[in-house]
Amino acid sequence: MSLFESKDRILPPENYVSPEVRRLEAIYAAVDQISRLNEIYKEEELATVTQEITESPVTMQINPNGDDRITPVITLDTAREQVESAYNPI
Amino acid sequence: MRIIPSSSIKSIISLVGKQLPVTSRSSLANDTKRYRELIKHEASIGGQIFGPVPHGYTREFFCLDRYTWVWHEEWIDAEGRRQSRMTRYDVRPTGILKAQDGSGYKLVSKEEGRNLIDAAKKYQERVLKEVYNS
Repeated sequence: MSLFESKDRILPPENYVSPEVRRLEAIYAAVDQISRLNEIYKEEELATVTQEITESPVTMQINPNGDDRITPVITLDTAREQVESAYNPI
Repeated sequence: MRIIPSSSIKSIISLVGKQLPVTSRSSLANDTKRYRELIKHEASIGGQIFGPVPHGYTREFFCLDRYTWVWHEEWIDAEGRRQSRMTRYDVRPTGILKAQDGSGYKLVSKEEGRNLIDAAKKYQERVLKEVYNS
């Protein structure tokens, strides 16, 4: 380390970052970082839903309440829409 | 070429080596203190994100750095002893790891992860408004 590179030297004003700015930078970076996981979770859930529905392609079932109505079971498109809307609320 | 007298060099050395660092250390200490105060303020706001805090409880939630979120709770138990729980969330590219009171890390569920993402966004919104007026 040279004479003018003391670790205690004063930073030039143009390099100075105030504690407030450092905090704001940390918060923005942290929220950006964690928000990226939303996309990963969504993709995982879409894959799961797709697999479940592809393996059991039932589209209609007898109403579980016991009456004679036929209840439509969720389709792949509907399931995917539900996942999409859960991760991208309006 | 101008020759700098050795007495001047000595005075420069004394400035660089003694006087300036004292000022610098002092301002660094002030910045560190200020940084901690900001986190403390943020943490108390973060603790309110999850609804009312039970009587006798202290709850803090804050962003430590780009990859780390911390949840801290303190309370007095039925026998009057102070208890605390510290939960640390480490955000990795493929998921969130959680460690409680220094125990080993475990991967958080998707549901808990989504809750944490929501909490982080609410934290940002409130802290920007209430601490940084932006």
